[in-house]
Amino acid sequence: MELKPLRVSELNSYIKKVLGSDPILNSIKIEGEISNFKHHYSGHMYFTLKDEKSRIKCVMFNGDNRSIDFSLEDGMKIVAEGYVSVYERDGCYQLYVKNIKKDGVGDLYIKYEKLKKQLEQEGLFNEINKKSINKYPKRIGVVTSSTGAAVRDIINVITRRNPTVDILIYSVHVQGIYAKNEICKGINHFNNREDIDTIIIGRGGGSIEELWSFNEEEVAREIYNSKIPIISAVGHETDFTIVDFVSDLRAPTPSAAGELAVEDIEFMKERLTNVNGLLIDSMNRLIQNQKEILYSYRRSRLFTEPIYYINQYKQRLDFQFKELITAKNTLLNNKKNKLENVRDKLTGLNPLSILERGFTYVEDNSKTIVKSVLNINEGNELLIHFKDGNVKAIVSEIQKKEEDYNG
Amino acid sequence: MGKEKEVKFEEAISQLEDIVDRLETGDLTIDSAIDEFKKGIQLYNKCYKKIEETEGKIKLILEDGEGIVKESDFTNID
Repeated sequence: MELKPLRVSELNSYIKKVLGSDPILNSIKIEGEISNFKHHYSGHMYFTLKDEKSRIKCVMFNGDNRSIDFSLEDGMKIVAEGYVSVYERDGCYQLYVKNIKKDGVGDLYIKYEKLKKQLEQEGLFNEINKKSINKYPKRIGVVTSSTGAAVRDIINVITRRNPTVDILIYSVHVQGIYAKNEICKGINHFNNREDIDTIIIGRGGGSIEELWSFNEEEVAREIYNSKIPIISAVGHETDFTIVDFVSDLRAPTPSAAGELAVEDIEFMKERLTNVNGLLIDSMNRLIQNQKEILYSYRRSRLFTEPIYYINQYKQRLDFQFKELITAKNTLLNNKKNKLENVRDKLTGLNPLSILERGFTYVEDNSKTIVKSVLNINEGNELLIHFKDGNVKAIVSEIQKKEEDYNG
Repeated sequence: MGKEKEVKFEEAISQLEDIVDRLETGDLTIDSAIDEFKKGIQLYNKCYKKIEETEGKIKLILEDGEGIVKESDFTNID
């Protein structure tokens, strides 16, 4: 039995019912770019939302669009909330928009700025808390995707600069819902080990949504609390994520992270060679100095002409001997002179020499020498001594000399 | 995961530089100078060995939901 054909309106009505019974289509959020925007005089807005491949017709009625606080125009990226249904008269389905927000990306920038400000105020970005990076690590932990260019770049740069370094890669999702927790677990894992010197966390370039895990508060705090220094290498040179501010060092690219994490081994070799050269040079110099001191002793007169010193002493001895003799002679002469002087004096004082000159001396009865006429009287017996004998005499007369008055 | 490397390169080369300083100031007796020099040469050899002979290993770490960690050699040939 043949089914009776439906009429067009019946078809469109049926389609509307089908669409209306779908829960997803009844409440849906669509992001897209506005084109063919028309704001009807009735107040209703008609436009098309499109992405790179496809488009859908949209309508936003007067009652709903009054609350929009920004102007809509072609080219603008938005997120539209509403339901999908059929405009029966024209047989086309469209998006009936109840609510419009500027593109979610705009929201993300706001969120980013807000969190950045908050964490900055808390002090999570302070330079003073940043740890310095050891240029000679033995083992580096990398939290990143195990596939892709970022991990390859990091490994290549590190092994080129210093092939002795161990690299441990903790594999994580770097975007999507699992990323945030996995990144935290990676940082945690390395911190719980005793052998990791530096951690690199990073990924390749992408949009703000793709990099969003590196703007998450939990990741920032995990980095801040890390005991091991962390280098961040997220996206391209111009990409900045919260992780870049809170890490101990930011690398503009994953390759740069490799350079910041290890010293070039050629430079290390040079430093080593230099210091070894200095070691040997300074030891040689020291030995040379000691040798020269020793040789200078060998060249000294004490070794080559010791007789010189003996002669010096001999000479001194001779000199002293001469001095001794001279001194003795001088002493002796002095004594001689003194003696002669005394003898002359003595001779001068000898009373008997007076007698030679014709003088006499007189003694009285008691053998006392008479020096004054006052000590004798007439009639006394006196003994007069001449150089060649004595004379006994009796005082017949005394004549006293006149006194002179000259004080 | 590789043997524990006792003296870090940075420490060793710093000690070496200290020894050179002491030798250059020249206040040491010959005996202590010889001792320091010997130590210096030993440190140099250690450092040189570290950068010439040691080979770094690259490993991949996978942690599952229950915190079980698996380490394996990394073979990304990307």
